[in-house]
Amino acid sequence: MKGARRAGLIVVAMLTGCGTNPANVRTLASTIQIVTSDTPNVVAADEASCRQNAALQDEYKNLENQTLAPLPCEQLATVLDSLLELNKALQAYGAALNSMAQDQFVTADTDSKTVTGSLQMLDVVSAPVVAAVGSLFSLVETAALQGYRQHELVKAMTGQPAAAFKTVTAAYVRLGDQYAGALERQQSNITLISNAIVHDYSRTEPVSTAEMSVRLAALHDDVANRAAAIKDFVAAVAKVDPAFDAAAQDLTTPSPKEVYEAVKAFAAQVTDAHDKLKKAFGVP
Amino acid sequence: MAVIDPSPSREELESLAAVFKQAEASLEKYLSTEEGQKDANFTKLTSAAISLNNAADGIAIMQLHLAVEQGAEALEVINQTTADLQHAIIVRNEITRDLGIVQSVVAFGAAIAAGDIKSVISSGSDLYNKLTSG
Repeated sequence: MKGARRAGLIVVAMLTGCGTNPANVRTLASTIQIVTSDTPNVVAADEASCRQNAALQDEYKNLENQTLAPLPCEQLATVLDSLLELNKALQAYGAALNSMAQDQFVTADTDSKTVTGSLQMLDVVSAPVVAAVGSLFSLVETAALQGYRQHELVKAMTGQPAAAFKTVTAAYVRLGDQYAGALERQQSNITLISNAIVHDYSRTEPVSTAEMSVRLAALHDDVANRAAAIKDFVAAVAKVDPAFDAAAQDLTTPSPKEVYEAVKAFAAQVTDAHDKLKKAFGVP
Repeated sequence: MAVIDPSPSREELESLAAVFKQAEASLEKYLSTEEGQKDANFTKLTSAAISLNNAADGIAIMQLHLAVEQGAEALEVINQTTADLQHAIIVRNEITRDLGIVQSVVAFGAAIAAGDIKSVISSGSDLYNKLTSG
């Protein structure tokens, strides 16, 4: 029963056609894996930034005897934990997609050579028959494996899975926006606090004020570097949906050049953002 | 009687965040001017600007929360698709094995046809191994 079902699958796979190169799916899947590997670092940095901002505000409150609206670091931590769960799911999806799109199982040429080699060695059929058997075997194997692979990839990248994928990636875009905005506001807070300290203490405590200004300027620069890296991450993640659509479309109606360009550009942008993130956040 | 919706939409949150951002930017700009520096409420206004930033942070987190909540609903589909793909990878490996069996059958059949005992034994044991593996 199982064998018959499998034989059926092979036939279906052959009928659905073959010859589509899933290289774009592999590139897309690898890029998804880069984004999902970066996300825990972004999440950790986001939480750390909130705590750093809160510590600075505590200093300000003590110095100036002020009360401020509280920073929602606890709420942020809770949301980020949920986001990491989404990340795990997307990571597994990217890995499975990548594995399914691999070429390593399609070894038609080598296998057909083994078949023809066996026949030639035994010298029981004529050369044209040997060649015909080899070609037929190669055709069956290629059609079965490539066709089946294409069939399964189309299923995983269209309809409900595609919509779910986009809903999850929308959360990544939102994470990037939230973190980029938080860093922007943190810079604004640093400027406000620095100016307030200069305004209130530069005459009475010039040395301490100067020291604090230097410390805050360095912190401002660090936050600005992180903000720039995060903006690149946001820009790259925003392109994941078009790249996904392009790679999925290539499985059903191949348009190699356009798809290749779109997926390649997306991969390059993600790799660039990944390098900048590593530099800005000191990740080895 | 008007009903107040306690859970704002994404658009409402975006508008609110934009209002806070604009108010904070205006305040920050004013505080950096000579007039602002001389303002008797300089420190209080600075605190107000920081509080506006903190409130905007809260809105951004609410927006993230909404997006993550929607993502959680999609999670089941993603996990199911991943499981299907993993199953398909197993099936593909089985297809590869089956094709390997076909290859061995060809060799075994040819060896029998040729009457070459050595080849019959070697291709027969190869076929046996493929049939019994996995």
